[in-house]
Amino acid sequence: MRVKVKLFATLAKGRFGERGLELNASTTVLDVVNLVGVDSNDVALIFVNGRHSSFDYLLQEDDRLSLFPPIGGG
Amino acid sequence: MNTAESIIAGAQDGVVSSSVLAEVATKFALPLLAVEKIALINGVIPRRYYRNIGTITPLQQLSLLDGRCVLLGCGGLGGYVAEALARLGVGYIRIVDHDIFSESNLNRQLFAITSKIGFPKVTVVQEAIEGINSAIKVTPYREKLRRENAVSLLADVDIVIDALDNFEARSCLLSFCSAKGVPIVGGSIAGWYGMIYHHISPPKNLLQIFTSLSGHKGIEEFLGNPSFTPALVASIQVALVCQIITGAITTGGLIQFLDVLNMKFEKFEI
Repeated sequence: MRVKVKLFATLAKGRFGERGLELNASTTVLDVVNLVGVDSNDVALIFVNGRHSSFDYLLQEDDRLSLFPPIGGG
Repeated sequence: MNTAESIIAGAQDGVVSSSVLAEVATKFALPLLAVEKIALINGVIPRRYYRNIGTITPLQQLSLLDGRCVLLGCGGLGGYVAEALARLGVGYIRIVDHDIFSESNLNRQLFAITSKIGFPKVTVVQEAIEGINSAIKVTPYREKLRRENAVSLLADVDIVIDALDNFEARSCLLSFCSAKGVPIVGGSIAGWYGMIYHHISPPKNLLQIFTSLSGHKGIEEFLGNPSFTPALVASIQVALVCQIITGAITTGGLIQFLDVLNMKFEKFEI
């Protein structure tokens, strides 16, 4: 299945901002995080198809996954 | 002549100057804010808000003067938020910050000026925004938000504004707003990046997001915070506050992300 993955800010550094990935069925968000070489501790927010999601979400065909690091300054 | 008649008599083309309003306030022993409200009710625009009109209706300006908000944090975001709220004409602004201005604030914080290093942020910000708009009421609290003082610091406002710098305090804030159904508008910054969130009635999942972030150090720890992102994020926060107070936003919420390195803006419903 094909899934579009977006990496924001520091997560994109040395990787990519946006890319379509060909994945096996039964792939979770955490599997994708590991696949693209991001440390899961660096991921603060996960959105799938514009909705808040989690590491254990089972991705579906044509899902749009966005990963964000923690932005905390004031 | 009564108050309204005095204002109308002193107006030109439906606009009245601060000096006329101040004279009317003195004559009738009323606060300036009350006189500004009487002007708007009677179709006269106080000149200081004249350039708000067109974007904001006179009735919406009246609701801003009636607006009550609490601003948590008077640093990078909070300074710009406080300034914009005062110019916009939000009638009551409670400001909360325990900190003093330090040298490392000079690169980005609006009210961090060399002569004010070592001064409490709330005192400096209060003085500055009262200098911009003397009609509004500004109440400073030099305190750190904790579970124990949250209820007293956050009580009796229409909207809570998060300009804090850590996830623990945000979680405490969200916990209050979620339980009480108080609208919240928050911002955070790191390097080229910003996050803005708001909700009219913060749901449990928004609270969970910030509770889950409580252990995290933000990427600002190594990206720092340059001069341009605070003003940008703070301005979006105030645009949201304006829309909530004036009734342009009545339901729901968003989390939005800004990336001014790649000029991207993303938003997600919550």
